[in-house]
Amino acid sequence: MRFVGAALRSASMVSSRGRAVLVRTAVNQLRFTTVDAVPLLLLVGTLVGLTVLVQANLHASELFGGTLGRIVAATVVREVGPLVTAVLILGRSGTAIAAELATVGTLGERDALEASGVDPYQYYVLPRVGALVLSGALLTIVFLAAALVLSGLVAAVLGLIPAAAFFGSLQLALLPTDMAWAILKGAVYAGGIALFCCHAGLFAGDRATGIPQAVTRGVVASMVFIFAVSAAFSIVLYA
Amino acid sequence: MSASVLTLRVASTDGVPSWEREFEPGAVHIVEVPAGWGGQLVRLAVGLPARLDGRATLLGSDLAALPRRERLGAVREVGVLPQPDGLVSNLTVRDNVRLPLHFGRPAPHGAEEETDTALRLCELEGIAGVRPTDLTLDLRERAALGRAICGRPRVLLLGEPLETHPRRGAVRLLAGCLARTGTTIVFAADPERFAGLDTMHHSTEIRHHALGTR
Repeated sequence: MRFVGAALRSASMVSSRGRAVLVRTAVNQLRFTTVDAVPLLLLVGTLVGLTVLVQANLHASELFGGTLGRIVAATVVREVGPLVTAVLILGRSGTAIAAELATVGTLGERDALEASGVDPYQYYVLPRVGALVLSGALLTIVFLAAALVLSGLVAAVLGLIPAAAFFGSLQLALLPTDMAWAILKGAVYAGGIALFCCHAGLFAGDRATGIPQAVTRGVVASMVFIFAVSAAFSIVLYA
Repeated sequence: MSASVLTLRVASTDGVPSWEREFEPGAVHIVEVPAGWGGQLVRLAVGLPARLDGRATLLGSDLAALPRRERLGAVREVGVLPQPDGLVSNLTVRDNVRLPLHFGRPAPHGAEEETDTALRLCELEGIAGVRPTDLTLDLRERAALGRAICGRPRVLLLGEPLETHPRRGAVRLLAGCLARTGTTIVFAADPERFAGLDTMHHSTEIRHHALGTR
């Protein structure tokens, strides 16, 4: 909590000249976390969507004909989509952030910045948190598009489901509020990942052995955060 | 408030007896220290955790005792050459040199002009667009020196600087940098390297100290 407080205080003290530097860092982070990750998100989203579709189709046809779209929407949009997106962000970008910031400590970069009057929270944490929050929201949309649309098309081409019935029921089942909550969840998960991984990296010490330890700490803390927040969202929104 | 720019008190370490020294403003202080101490003394002075046990008062403040935000504000008036150089690896030399100006170090002649001057004084113009990972150690150190003098730091703290440079080149670089600041304190394991400074730099008094030597 102290770390979050320090980061927030730093955010309120950025000068206009410093802001340009931070925006440039955030754009780089955004490119790596979002743009470069789109192919992976499309692939995994399609595969996860297919997996859910096959199971949902099995039960939907047995129990409630025509409810395939509802089951998929409820499962993918409300729960699986933001969660898997967060895990992918953690695997690609969270680990990279923790390793990068831990390396920065071993190279003396962080101390040199502090000795020059540059706030490490401003320079390292703010752009990464900002970029990951935005990435979390955008990549959740990408994942959901792949998991709902691409997987539906693939399943239809493979003859696993009737395409018209699926997309018809999906259209009826998709609620704007569910989409909005999913995007918000994606942003919250990614923001948490950025904070935990930045914290782990910045406080990794000045030895090389601290780098893998920082990555492990960042990943474990982020995982616990993601699943705890996911459970909390489910209880508050749907229980 | 003390009239000195920097007061250093270092406890007995590695067989070196404890010592205390005040550094007056408006001079260049060349301080002989045991090898490996230069970077640690600079860290001590700016309030960063150091391997040496001691206290420092820089520009009237014990920076180690200040809250982080106030400490950052205070060190913006100080140019530091740390060991290791701590250049940001994904920024070019030019961006590294001017980075402190973006975060509050005074730049009375504008950021671009101050940056150009620092690059010229440290003979970095030809490599301004290169990233530190593509540089040799001596070029990296010059870039870090450029970052230290960019803007108008009131005090310049150099920890065992330019040790891999040829002696004449090191003296020439240092002489060029001295005009950028009011007070310079050089912690050097081999102060003889800077023996020619007196003849190249006439406008500031140069004082030699032998502290903490065995």
